[in-house]
Amino acid sequence: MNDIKALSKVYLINMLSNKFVFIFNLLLPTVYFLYLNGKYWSRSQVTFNQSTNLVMSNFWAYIIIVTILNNVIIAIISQRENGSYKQLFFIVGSKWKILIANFLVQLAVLNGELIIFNIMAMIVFHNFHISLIVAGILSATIITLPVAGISSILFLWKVKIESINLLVSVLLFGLFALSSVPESGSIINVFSLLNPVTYTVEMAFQILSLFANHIFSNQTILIWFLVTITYGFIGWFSVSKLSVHSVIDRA
Amino acid sequence: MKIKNYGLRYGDRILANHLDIEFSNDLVNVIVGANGAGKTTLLDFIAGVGPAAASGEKIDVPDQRDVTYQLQHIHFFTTLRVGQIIAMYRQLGNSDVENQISGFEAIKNDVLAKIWQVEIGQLSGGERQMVLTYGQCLLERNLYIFDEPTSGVDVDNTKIILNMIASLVKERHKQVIMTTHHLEQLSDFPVHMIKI
Repeated sequence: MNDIKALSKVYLINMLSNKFVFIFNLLLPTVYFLYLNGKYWSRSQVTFNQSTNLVMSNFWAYIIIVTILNNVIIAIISQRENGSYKQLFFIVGSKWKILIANFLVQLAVLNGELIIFNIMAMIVFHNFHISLIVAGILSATIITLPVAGISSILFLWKVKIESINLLVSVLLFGLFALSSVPESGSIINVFSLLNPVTYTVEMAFQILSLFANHIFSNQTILIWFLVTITYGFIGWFSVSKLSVHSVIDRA
Repeated sequence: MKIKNYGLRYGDRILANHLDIEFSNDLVNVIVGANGAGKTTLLDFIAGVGPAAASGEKIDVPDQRDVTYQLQHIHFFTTLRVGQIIAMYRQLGNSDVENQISGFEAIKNDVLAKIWQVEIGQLSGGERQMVLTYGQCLLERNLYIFDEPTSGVDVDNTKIILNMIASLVKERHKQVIMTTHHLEQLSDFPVHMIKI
């Protein structure tokens, strides 16, 4: 635990030196949200209903997934490619400690981002509910680990660091495009949840509906459990295969 | 600690074949060899992260969790200050070393104090090697591996780095393996030389 604490401190200081990532993680979705919903600024209070919950869930999903991809997965891949992951591995003696420390820092950052975004949304909607803040924190806490698990599959890509950002952008675009395809039937629903964007939107929506409108789908718990187990297994497998060597150094 | 029947082959290029190596417990083990001879690959093999192309039997080599390994020319958390990096090493290792092992107090006060607030990325290569070697020595492991720790380091700092490495064996009875191209730097240090 002491090791994780020491590493988390280092990761936090290191991350705060690169504030540019917040443009993609927080500023971009916030500006887009204001662009779409700015009209409510001059109107009376907006009630949180299923359609506003869906809008919020999509923005949360973007913030969660982009933060995990940029600050956890690509960050570790970059460290692996420049050799600092290998160095850190031999200082700490465990890849799990490195990943957990980085993950915990980013979870805290993510919660901060969602709190800022939710406060801004409440200001726009003239509707102040502490439950929105709590739902955001709960969503981030529950969803982030499985999403980090499925995203760890990128550790297995033998792609040079120069190409990884482009590929991740294409991947993100594809996943968000796929998530907007209409679904029908429960089997399709299970498979669609294998898309981490759909999974995140769906889970965030359920949590938000529970807090804001006291509505929750029981069927979703079983599907969520099955998909979360799958994500966890993929994450465990990917991390166990995570090499300390950069792609170009592998024989 | 021994390596038996070590082999390293990349296609038709054979870098090592049926090589047996015995390491000393009482001296710093220094691996020397030409560029491309496979020194770093041998260190990787010992540390348990060797490529599939390397093979051999390890006898009494500590478990990977009991090994620390300083890589060469590493760009490591460049935005952190020297003090923050050392604080991390202290938390991960044994900070008593600074008070109990001869020379460390002096290095801290005379050398590191001057650069304590400087970011790692702004240090020269030699200063960076000094900081990382100091940090590595604070860790508590059985086997310490250093890949060219004195490469690009000036004469005075080389002596400091080699003294820190030697103290691991002399005062803390640890096993140490390092590589170097600069044999002349080792004239004052009793070492066990391994040529590959």
